[in-house]
Amino acid sequence: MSEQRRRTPRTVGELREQLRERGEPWEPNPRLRDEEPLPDPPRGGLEPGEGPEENQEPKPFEGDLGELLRESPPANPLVRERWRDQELLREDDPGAREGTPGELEEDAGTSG
Amino acid sequence: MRAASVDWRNRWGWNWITTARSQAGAPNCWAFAATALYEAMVRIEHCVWCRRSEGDAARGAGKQAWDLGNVGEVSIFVERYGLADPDCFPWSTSASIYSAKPHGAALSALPLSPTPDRAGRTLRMPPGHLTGLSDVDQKKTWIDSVGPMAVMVDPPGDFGALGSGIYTTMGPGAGMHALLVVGYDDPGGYWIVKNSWGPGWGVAGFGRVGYAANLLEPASFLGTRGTNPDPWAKRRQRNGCLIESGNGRSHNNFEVFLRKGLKIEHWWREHGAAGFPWNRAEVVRSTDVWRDSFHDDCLECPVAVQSTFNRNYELVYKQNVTNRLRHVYWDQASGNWYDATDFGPTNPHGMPGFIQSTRGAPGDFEVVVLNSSGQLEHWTKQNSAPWRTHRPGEWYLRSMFGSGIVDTGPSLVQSRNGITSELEEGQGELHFVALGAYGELQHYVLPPGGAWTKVATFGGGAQSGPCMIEGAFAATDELTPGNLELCVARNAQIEHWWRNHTFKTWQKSATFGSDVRCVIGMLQGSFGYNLELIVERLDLQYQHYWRDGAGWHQGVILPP
Repeated sequence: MSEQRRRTPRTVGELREQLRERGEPWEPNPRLRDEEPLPDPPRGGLEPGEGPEENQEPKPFEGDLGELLRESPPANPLVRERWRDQELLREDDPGAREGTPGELEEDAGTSG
Repeated sequence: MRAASVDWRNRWGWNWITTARSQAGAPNCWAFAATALYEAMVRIEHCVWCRRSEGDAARGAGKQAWDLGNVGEVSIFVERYGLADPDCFPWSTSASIYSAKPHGAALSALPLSPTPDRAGRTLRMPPGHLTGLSDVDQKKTWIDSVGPMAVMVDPPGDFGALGSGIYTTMGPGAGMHALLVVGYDDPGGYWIVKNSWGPGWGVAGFGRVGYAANLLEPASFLGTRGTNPDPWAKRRQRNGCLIESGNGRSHNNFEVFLRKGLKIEHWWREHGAAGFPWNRAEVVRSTDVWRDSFHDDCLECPVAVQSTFNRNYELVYKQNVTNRLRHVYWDQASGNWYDATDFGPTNPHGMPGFIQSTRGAPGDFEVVVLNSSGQLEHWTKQNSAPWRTHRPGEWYLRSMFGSGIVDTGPSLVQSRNGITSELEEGQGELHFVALGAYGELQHYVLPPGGAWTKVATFGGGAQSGPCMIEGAFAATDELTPGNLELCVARNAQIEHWWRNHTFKTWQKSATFGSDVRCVIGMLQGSFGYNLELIVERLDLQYQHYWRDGAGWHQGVILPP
């Protein structure tokens, strides 16, 4: 049903009826009674561009996402396995030898 | 090629998403979505639950409960000041003054300001850590290969009624609302979102939004990486001389403090370099020129805590000057080691248990140590107000318990068991396991407000005090306690035991290793829930062991 022809339901019961009529694949929360008005919980998001310039969310990335991702390969071996499947891991990635015991390197400075 | 479906609530057999919460009557959805994003990414990058405070995110960003906002504002605050846990600054809808004013006893009932140890209990994020994506395929690739993403959308008015099924309503929006996208399903044609309208919305607070609704497709998604969680969040998953710190490229280097002769050496394993090399950082000794009070005095390997005092390292060890325990600390701000004090019984035996507890903020230090009469002594250093019974910083003997104990190790744990709220202050039973005269392990518990009680005896033939953590297994969300994991030396090998808080029986899981004298450090860290051990060998060298999906492995031997 098109948006124009749909009436705005005032109660949960009306919404249930509309959803049934339209064959929509979702149901209102079963805890809501038919006679209740539609719940209207608080939201609170600013529209994009609203508010001071310095508080805006970052602009969408434009470029090669694969290259961006490769800058920070994951440490979690479960995620790394997924990266391997996606051919995102570089051969020379320092974590490529995880699962090995580690090497000994004495007097290498401080841990920073 | 990206996956056809992803659901971070159940990926590789693990849940990576914290429970859904409620923004109550406040239009602060943006703070909830941002907090949920950071919590999910810490879990994915460090394999630890890291409950953060929406109150800290929102009020820290300079906004009150009636203010609208966006995820970008939270990210600016987090980048500069980190993001704290609810016990530091809880969520509330009341007006709050967010300042550096320390808590006093008279103010403790109101969440007016964060606790004074905030710097040591915040998640830290690198500059420019948010990435925005608008292309639908790129969003899904990020969700598949990195993690969940936050999004700001304008759902129709019936969105608040969603129960089960796939939301498909197309219509005029009823107001901007922030969500966390935790997955997608191409065959089913829907996104999976975490909302902030409580567990009553959708199914347990999560909903499915159909591609047909075209609600999320036009919006920019925000993802992040490079989380650096605080030691307070990781405290239960480690013990003894071994710490997973925030250092290194992935903020997960191992730091270890070892006795070499009478000296203490600080070593670290670098996870940003090929081969994960172990490096010696320094010899631990007083760097206070006015009080050169400790060096070359260590008789037993130290037990370390990375505390909420600005992530300082705190060490407690048996020393040969007064033959008591010594507490020293590394001050992150100055880069110096300082002597705190000596305390405890004369001629203590074994490695003590040492943790920072939930009593106060900064939390008190708790030590359980074996005295020369075979009894266990529980000592506390009071770190914060109210100062009714003890002076600031004073170590005092709190209680004595047990008998016939012959050795102890770093097995003191403050469990999440029994804590029903997200707020933990003053809660959490203490657990300690000690070695009895017949090689049996004696398990003691101190419930809040109660007395130490022996709850179990298990094992046999152990040769030294054990090391114990409360790990990630069975911790299905941030509110559920994990299993106790214990490793102990027996017949020069290591026995691994575990105990579930529901079933309360100790089970032996494995026997492995060789030439082992005692287990002195343990953690479950960033490497996919692997268990990591540091053991002292019979030849007085130290060795690293770890367990992954293929079992236990012997690692490098650190030289004497």
